[in-house]
This record gives sequence, structure tokens and C-alpha cells, in this order.
Amino acid sequence: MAKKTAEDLATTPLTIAERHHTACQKKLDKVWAEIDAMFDKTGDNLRKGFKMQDLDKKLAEHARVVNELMSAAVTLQRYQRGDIPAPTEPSVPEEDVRAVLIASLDDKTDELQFTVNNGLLASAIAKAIRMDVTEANLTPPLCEDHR
Amino acid sequence: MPKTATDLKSVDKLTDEAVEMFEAVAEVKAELANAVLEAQDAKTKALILIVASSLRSRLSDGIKVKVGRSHIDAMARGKAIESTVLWMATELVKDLALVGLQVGNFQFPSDVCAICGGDV
Repeated sequence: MAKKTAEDLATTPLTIAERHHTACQKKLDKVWAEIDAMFDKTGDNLRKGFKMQDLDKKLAEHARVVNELMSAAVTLQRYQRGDIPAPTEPSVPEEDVRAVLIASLDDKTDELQFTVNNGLLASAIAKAIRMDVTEANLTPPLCEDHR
Repeated sequence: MPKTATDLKSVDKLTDEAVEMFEAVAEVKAELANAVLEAQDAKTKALILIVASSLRSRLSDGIKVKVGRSHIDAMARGKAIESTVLWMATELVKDLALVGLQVGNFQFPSDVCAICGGDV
């Protein structure tokens, strides 16, 4: 398998939309090739052993994939035009995430031997997830002892 | 009193017992981690695995177990370290959620206490 480039690994909304669009395009090409294969070499006559239900199924799939591709194309275009602003800043400061992580790491590293201290470990984790952390008020389920 | 060969052997035995205990606890931690993972969508699972991967890449191969007052280097067998790391990742994300910071679309498993992992 080809080694992934930094570009392949990038996960901005724009790159995700681009990849989704490309994947939809490939899916459509595949369905179209399958429909094409149902015809003989002249392209006019259906192959021997052909079943109408198979063609119906493929045409329905084709319609679904076309819709998906259209939707992906619209989303991609909106990102490219800047109609949907891609988040460039984390919604929660990385430092806040890091502080919670340091406190949380303190009582969990007992037997494990990390090559860096908890501060650096927390920084690395905070950096990795910072764009996906948001403020939310979740209600944790608690047992009787912790209520 | 000077230490004898018998004393040294008993330290080895105690170390083995401590490693076995670490491995047994790791199995329970794996179950707790799976309960948290099962409650998440694909995106959040991926984020938890990113946290686990960040931890794993900064981890040395061995473990340090407590024997008496000392901490002794040892090796854990099987998936004990992987399970512990995965559990740690779920706990970190859970602790963030407890203070109002949601990673991805993190949700607490509904049937498990968010603090001790016991039944609700």
C-alpha cells in the first residue's frame, strides 16, 4: 500500500469534502461500469442470461449514487467558495484541555512507564484532539454512592 | 540483617504476583473501556483511539510494579498494556466530559456510573 502523505492525513473540512466527492465519483464510475457490463459488445443488446430485476437494481443504485455525488459536489463547492467557514481555531482553548488532562493523568499512570512527563503527555493529547473538543453540558449517570 | 538468597527469591515471587495483579486489573479495565467505546459513534471512537495512540507512542515496553516500598521494572504479558492504555484513553475523555468538555460526540454509557464504573 502506498505510504500516506501529509495531505492524505489532513482532516480539514475541505479535504474531507474533497475526499468524499472523489469517493462518490468512483462509486458512480463503478456502478456505471456494472450497468455497461450488462450489455453485449455492441452496446445495444442485453447479454445472455440477463435478468430485468438486476438492471432495475443497478439503475436504482445508480440514481442513489448520482444523488450522493450531487450532494457531495454542492458541499464541496460551498467549502471552496468559503460559504461554510472551516473552523481554524479550536472552540475550547488547548490550554484548558491540557489542564484537565494533566489532572486526569495524575492517578492513572501507576504501573505504566511513559517516556515523557504528564505535562508533555497532556500537551500531545490536547494537540491531537483540540479541534474536536467543544463545551457541552452532559449529565453523567451515577451510582447511588456517587449521587 | 543482611539479605539472603531466599529473600531475593521472594522478591521475584512478589514481582510475579504484582505483574499478575496488573494483568488481572487490565482485563477489568478492558471491559470498562469497551463499555465506553460501545456507547460512541464512529467519529468519537476514532478520537479515543487517537488519544490511545498518543499515549502508546510515548510508552516504554515494560511496567513498574510496586513490591513493598520499591518499584520494580517488569514485563507484562499478553494485551495487558494495550488494554490499560485503551482504558486510560476512555478515562481521559470521560474526565473531560465530566468538566463539560466534549470530545467529538462523546456520550456516557447509560448503564455505568461515570465515576466508579459500577452499575447505575
